[in-house]
Amino acid sequence: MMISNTQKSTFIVHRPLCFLASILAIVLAIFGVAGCASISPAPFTALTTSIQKVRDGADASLSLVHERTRDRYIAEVAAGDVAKVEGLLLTQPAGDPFGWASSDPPLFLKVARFREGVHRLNSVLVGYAGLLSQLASPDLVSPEQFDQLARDLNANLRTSVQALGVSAPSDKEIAIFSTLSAAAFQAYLKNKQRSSLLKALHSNQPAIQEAAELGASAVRITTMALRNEYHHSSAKLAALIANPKMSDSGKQTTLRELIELDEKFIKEISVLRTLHQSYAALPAAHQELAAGLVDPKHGLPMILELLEKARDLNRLHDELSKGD
Amino acid sequence: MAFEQTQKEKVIESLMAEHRQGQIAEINLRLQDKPDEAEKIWQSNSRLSAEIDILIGQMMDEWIGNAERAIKGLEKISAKLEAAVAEIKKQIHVAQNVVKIIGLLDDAVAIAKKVVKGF
Repeated sequence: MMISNTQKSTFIVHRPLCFLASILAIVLAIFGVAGCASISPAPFTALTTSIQKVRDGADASLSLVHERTRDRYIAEVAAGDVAKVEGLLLTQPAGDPFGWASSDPPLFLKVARFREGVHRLNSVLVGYAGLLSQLASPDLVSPEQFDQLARDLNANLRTSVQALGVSAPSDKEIAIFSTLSAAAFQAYLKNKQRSSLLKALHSNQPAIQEAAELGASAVRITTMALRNEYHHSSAKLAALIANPKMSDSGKQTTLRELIELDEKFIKEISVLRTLHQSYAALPAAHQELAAGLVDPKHGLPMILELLEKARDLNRLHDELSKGD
Repeated sequence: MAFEQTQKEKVIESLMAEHRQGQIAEINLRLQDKPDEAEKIWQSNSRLSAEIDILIGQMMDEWIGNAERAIKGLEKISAKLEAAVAEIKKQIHVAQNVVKIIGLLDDAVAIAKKVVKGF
């Protein structure tokens, strides 16, 4: 009978408390502010947190691929495929004093470059999400700043009125005038804050769609490369087990190694599947931020799904590192 | 590009599946104690493996080429966002400066008033 993971896999649930608490706080904040007229920063924070997790997850997976392609290269060259060594003799490209080139770059060098590119793309995405959070932050146009403005204005008015020898009106009258002006200015800026955010979210939607598709494509390429390395490592172990000259205890040890390799690969593939799902959810989550700004009662299912994926990634990483 | 596999990915995937079948056949032959036949399969499978490595490397190179443009686009939109944040902060600073200037002018009025009283 054939078994596979094409059905949804089930895992033992292990949740690191700190990360879970932070996710819970964000989820509560998302639900807690629904219905308020002001901009809620929680969904923006959730987006940033999720993309950070995706960046870490993608980098960790590519680090594995790099390590394994490098190890395989060493093993293959050492086993006699000496012609491959030429690819390691780096040369300087003409006119580039800081450059390096390989006539026939081994796969692990390409993986290293690819890893760098994926990290760059994800870092730019993290930066973008961080800027959205800044623009959505209540601190940008905080009531405290405007209260201070009103207080300063009141103090100035009182000084000037008294200096001119006019019988001073009550503090309350002056305060009301100043507070109203400051409040109007704050309302203007808040409106500007909201309209800037909406404009950014709408106009950047195609760029986010493209970046998410590129991210998903990177995950599929990573999965392919990881699977390729797994094929090599597992076949090598199976060939050892098939060797009739190997002792029973040797076979047992190798068999255990093969089982552990399989278990690890299954977990690694789960991480990559979750990463792919996260990238696929990203455009809709980004779109949801705009919808939530227009209508605060609008639900945020994709943002919550992204957060859920971030939590899954955290758990799977934790399981993988425990295995190490 | 969408969230589904491209044609190229499908081709590599099917080549990898063939390579895997070759590995399984090789192991079966070794288990049947037929090392010579197993070795022949191993050798032709190694050639296929080298081709798969090249194709995976090419896909990575192509991805980097596509990502470069997207990264530049994202950097541009991030710069615009930064400018929007800065613009709002600037307007608050302007308001704070206006209040400060009003304060300074008020002080000047108070001094002038004292001077006028002195005459």
